[in-house]
Amino acid sequence: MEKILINRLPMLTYRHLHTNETEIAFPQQAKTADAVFSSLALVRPGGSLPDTFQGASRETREAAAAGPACRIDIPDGTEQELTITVALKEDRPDYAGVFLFRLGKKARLNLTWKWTGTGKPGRCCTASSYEVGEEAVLRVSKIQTGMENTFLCDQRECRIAGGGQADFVSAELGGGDTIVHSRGELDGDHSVMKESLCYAGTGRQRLDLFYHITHHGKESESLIDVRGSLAGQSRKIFRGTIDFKRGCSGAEGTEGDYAVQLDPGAKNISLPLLLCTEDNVVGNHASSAGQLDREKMYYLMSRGLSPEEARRIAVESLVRPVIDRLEPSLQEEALQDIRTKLNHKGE
Amino acid sequence: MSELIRIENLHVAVGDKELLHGISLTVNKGETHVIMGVNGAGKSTLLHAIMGNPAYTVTSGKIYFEGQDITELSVDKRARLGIFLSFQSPVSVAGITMENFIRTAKTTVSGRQQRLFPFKRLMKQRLSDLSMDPSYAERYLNDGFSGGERKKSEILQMRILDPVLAMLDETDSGLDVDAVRIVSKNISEFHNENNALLLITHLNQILRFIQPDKVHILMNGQIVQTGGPELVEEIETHGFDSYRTAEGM
Repeated sequence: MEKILINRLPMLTYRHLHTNETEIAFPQQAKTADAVFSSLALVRPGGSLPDTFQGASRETREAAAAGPACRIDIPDGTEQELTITVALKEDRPDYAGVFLFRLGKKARLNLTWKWTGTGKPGRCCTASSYEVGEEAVLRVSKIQTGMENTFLCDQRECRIAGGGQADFVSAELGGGDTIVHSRGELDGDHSVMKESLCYAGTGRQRLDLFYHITHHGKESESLIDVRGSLAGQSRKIFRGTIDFKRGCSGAEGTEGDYAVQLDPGAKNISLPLLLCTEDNVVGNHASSAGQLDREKMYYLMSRGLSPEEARRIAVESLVRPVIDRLEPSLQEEALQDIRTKLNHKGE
Repeated sequence: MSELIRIENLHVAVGDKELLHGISLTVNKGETHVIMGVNGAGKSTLLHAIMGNPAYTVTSGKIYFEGQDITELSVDKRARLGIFLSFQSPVSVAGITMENFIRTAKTTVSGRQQRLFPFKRLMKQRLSDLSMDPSYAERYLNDGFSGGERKKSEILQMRILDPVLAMLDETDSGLDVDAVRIVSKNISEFHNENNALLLITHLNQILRFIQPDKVHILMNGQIVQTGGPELVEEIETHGFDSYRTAEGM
């Protein structure tokens, strides 16, 4: 199986730390499933990724680009809802595709992604480009479950004009290797981009999460909020960068990565990074990793809850701020999946 | 009155530091015991040791609850036997509502599934008893609560879980005068001949509403005096100076 390097840090650190990028086995693609759209009225076939689109690596970008491409245009001042389902099947365990979204001025799009599938080994690579116009609002909710032997790579880049907003909320619960590569360009003044993600790693799951939000516009805002638990031999690496460019005065960016390690074999690496060439900005970053809060566990168990129940509640309380921001119809499914995974945490 | 909890020569340590040096105490059903003492005397340590806080190690001595040796029992199992601790500083747990949490806990400690609508009615009644808005049922557990609201939340849990031994660690601190009265009324309504109360207090406000059967003075990890309600008056008048002198503190 080919080995590739993904999610390279924008500013490199010591090589001996082995965190600048991740080397990962990249499986071959076989038979691809189809993406299913809740409404075809908005979808036009064709189009190609912008030349500037980077993706997790050249290989993953090209893999996505080898699949079908489609355009979704939301005209000025209109509001639309769309659900895209990628369901991998036993006989078609792979997927590749390109999605090009454009929201006109003051347009709104509520977009739901559902990725699901069986335990058959496979590969799923997507590349999505979002252009959010002036004062447009993009809300994206994604749930990803099952597919415990699948290589998943979700690559997205988002460019936001003045007053525009993009809010990505994801529950990355399934997958064998789950790669997220997200870039945001806050071009316009008062533009906003939020990235929230929760996960519950079990068994030998591996999550490789990369975010890079660049502030250009004045008083622009960004948030990166990643939360979850790691059990068994699962691993997660977080690379989060907020980049304040000269001229983005008054901008504010916050990033946080919060992980609880439920087993000694679980591993977490967190690399929050703030880059800045503008004086008048506020940048916050935080990360925490460790075992469950003993005081909280004691309190919950003092009410009769078993260690397993107390752990479930403590993990749920950690990820709940992200779950609550998912599209309501996805919230219960995400919670149930987390509960199921915690009940079989080492597997 | 039958014996509920018996503590025999209990020594408790955190790491290498011994905090309790041989506590012996028996509480019978129907009784109310008050523990008083200066800051750092070991009052909270005693309650946490009874609850089974894993941060504290029992180095010697025994704890018997309804005749059963519980010295090695885990926290959750003690709770299921009917031991309850109202925390001095309750933690907040965002992500689970008060109602869901208490219903889950009630199911666990009672061993019986709690039907939704009867439980909701009970919750509403108990919130009303504590002059708390019904909307608290839908709020996350202690999340964003003031100090006083957290103390009321503890009493709410006590009333619904209905333990056999309720230990209240400075439940009256941080409460305004009206809240002390309301909380005290709830404690009084909870207390009956089949359960017992073990209270820690620095203030005497709560003791205006709750009559203790026994008062214990704890100094430097040891019970140095046990008496009746008259001890409360004595402490209020003279403080702990005489006990400090006796202990060489």
